[in-house]
Amino acid sequence: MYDSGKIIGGLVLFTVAAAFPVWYTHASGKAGYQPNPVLPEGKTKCVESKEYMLSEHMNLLDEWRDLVVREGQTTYVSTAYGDEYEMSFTKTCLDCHEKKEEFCDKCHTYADVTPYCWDCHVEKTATGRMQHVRVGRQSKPDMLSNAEPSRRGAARLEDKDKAMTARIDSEPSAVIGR
Amino acid sequence: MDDSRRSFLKKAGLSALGIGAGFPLLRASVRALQDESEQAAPLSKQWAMVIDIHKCLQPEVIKTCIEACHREHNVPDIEDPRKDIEWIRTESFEKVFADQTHPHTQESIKQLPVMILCNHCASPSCVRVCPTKATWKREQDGIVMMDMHRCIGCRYCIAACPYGARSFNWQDPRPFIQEIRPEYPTRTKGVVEKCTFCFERIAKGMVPACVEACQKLPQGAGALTFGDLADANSEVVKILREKYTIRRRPGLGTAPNVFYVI
Repeated sequence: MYDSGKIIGGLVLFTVAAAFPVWYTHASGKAGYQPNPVLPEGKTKCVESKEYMLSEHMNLLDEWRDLVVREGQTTYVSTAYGDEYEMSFTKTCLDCHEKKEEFCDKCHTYADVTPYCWDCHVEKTATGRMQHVRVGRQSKPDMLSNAEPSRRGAARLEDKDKAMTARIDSEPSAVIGR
Repeated sequence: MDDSRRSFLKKAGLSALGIGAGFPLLRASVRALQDESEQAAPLSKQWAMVIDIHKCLQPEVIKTCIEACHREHNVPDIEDPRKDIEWIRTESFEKVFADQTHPHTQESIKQLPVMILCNHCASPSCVRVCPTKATWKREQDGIVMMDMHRCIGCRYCIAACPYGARSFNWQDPRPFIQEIRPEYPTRTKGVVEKCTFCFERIAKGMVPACVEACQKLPQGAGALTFGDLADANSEVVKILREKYTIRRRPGLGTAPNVFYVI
C-alpha cells in the first residue's frame, strides 16, 4: 500500500475527530448527567409510586383526560395507596408541582420533549404563583387590527348598552305583547 | 332423483347467493330500526335553559351574564369581530328569530336584543359532521360537549351549526384574556369552542355561571332558568308548561334545548 502511514494516520485522526462528542463528554465528566427535578417540599408521595409516576405519568394524564372529558368522572382512586384525588391536571398535579421550571421542564428539556399541556392549562410561574394577570393587547400592538388605542371589553359592552337603552327608551311598546 | 347435475348446481349457487346477500341486508335493516328507536328514546336527563326575553332586555342583566360566563371560562375579548370568541352574546330579535319575523314586524321588536348561546340540541348537526368526535352529545345529561384535546380545527361544526354558536381560535387567545382564571384552561390556536352549559360547575351541583350571575341581580331574577327537561318537577318544565315559549329555527329539526319566553 502506498502512503500507508498517511492513510492510517488520517483515519485515526478522522475517528478521533468524529468521536469528539463522545470522548469529550466522558472526559469532562458530563456523561453521567441526569436531570434532577425538584420535588415539592413537605410532600411525601404522589398519586402513585415514584417509579410508576416516573415512567407512566404521561399515560396516567392521558387516562385522566379521557375519564374527565369523555366519561365525566372526576375522582381517581390511587392503586398504590388507595386514597382519592380529583382528576385535574391544574388543580391536583400543579397544586403540588407548582414550579414548572424546576420540575416538569427539567426532564422534558433533557429528553427534548415538548408536551403541549401548558398551551391551554394554566401554568404557575417560577415563584410558584399562579399567573393571574396577563397584560392584554396593549403589549402586543402588532396584533391590533387598527392603530387606535384599544378599548377593553367593559367599555365596548357599555357602548352596546347605551345603544340598547336608547332603543328600549325610544320604543316603550318594544316589550312584546305583555 | 331426476335433477341433473346442472340444475342442482344452479340451485346451490342461488341458495348461496341468497344467504350471502340476505343476511347482511337483514342485519342492516334491523340496525337501522334500532338506530331510529334510539333516537326516539328520550335521554334520562337533558339539561335545558329557558330565557325570558322580557327580563333579559336590561343592559345590566345582559352584561352581567356575558361577563360572568366569559370570566369563568377564560374567553378572550378580541376587538376584531371576525376573530372574536363568544360563548354567550346578544343578537337582534330579527336575526335570532328570522323565521318568526316578517316584513311588517314592528321595527322595535326586530331590534330587541336576545341572548343566544349553544342550544345543546337534541339532534345536533355539529356532532354529525365532526370527523374526530371532538364534539359529541353526552348520554348522561344531553350536553353537547367539546374535547379540545381532540379538535383538529377543521371547522365543519361551525359550518354545520345553524345558530352561529361556535367560535374558532384564529390565534393564541391568551394575550386577549384580561385576567386568566387558573382553574379553567384557556384554549389554544386552532380549536373551536362554545358554551358547554358549564359542565364543570354542574358536576359540582352548581348552576351555570350566567344563570347564577343574573339571579343575583334584583332585576334579573328568572331571566335565565336552568334545569332538567326530563324531570317533570324541574323549574324549566314548569315554565314550559305555564308560558308560551319558542325555540330557534324549529323547522331544521335540531330540537334545541334553549327555550325563549316571549
